[in-house]
Amino acid sequence: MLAAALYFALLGSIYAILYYLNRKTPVPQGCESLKSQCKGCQDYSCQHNPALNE
Amino acid sequence: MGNLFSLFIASVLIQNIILTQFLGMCPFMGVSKNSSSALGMGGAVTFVIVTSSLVTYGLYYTVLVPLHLGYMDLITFILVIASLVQLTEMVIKKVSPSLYKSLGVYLPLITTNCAVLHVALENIRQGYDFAEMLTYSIAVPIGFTLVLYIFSTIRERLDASNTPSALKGNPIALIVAGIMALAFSGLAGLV
Repeated sequence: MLAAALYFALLGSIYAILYYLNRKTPVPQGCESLKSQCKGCQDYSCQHNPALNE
Repeated sequence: MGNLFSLFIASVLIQNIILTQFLGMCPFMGVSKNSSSALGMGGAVTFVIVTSSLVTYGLYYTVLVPLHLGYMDLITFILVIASLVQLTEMVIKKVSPSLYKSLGVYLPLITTNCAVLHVALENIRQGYDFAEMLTYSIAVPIGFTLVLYIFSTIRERLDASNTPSALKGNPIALIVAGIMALAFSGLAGLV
């Protein structure tokens, strides 16, 4: 059980570090508002889909 | 060797991940409007599938099995895939801003691309050895990219064609996808 918890914590930490580094990496010029420009496709479960904000 | 070749052909064409197993449909519909984006998405998915397969296969047999943690395979694979997508996004941001712009919001969605998780799970479920795992992990994204590229070139031509207004956009795209699936089903029995 302890091994499972430690293993899960290790994997979660690796993900958290990579997520943080990715967030810190500057977005290229002209790509700052890509998410707000998304008009949405047929994937209504996607968090970017503007239909969720209506 | 012949076995690996059969596995490769079967994974690319006969059991194509999109057209016969209907996995990865989100990028198939979302990033198929132009061929350059389709190739970019295919490249990103290929990188994520191959690297995630190598990592998950290694983790399963060197960590999960010896520690009797086989029941944690799903959570492990999801975290590995999510981490690799973050890494891929970071690299594309630095190396190719134009590709980052063309992939847009679909890049982080590779995490939720069920084709990636399917390959990682199938490698374990089918009991593939290393060579078979590598062949399968390369063949599946090649089939994914091939179908995505063919579909995008058809959609580019459809945009320029005189499509009835009721069928413009997604309806005609879905009809084309259905015809492509029928065509690929004709390859059954090839190997």
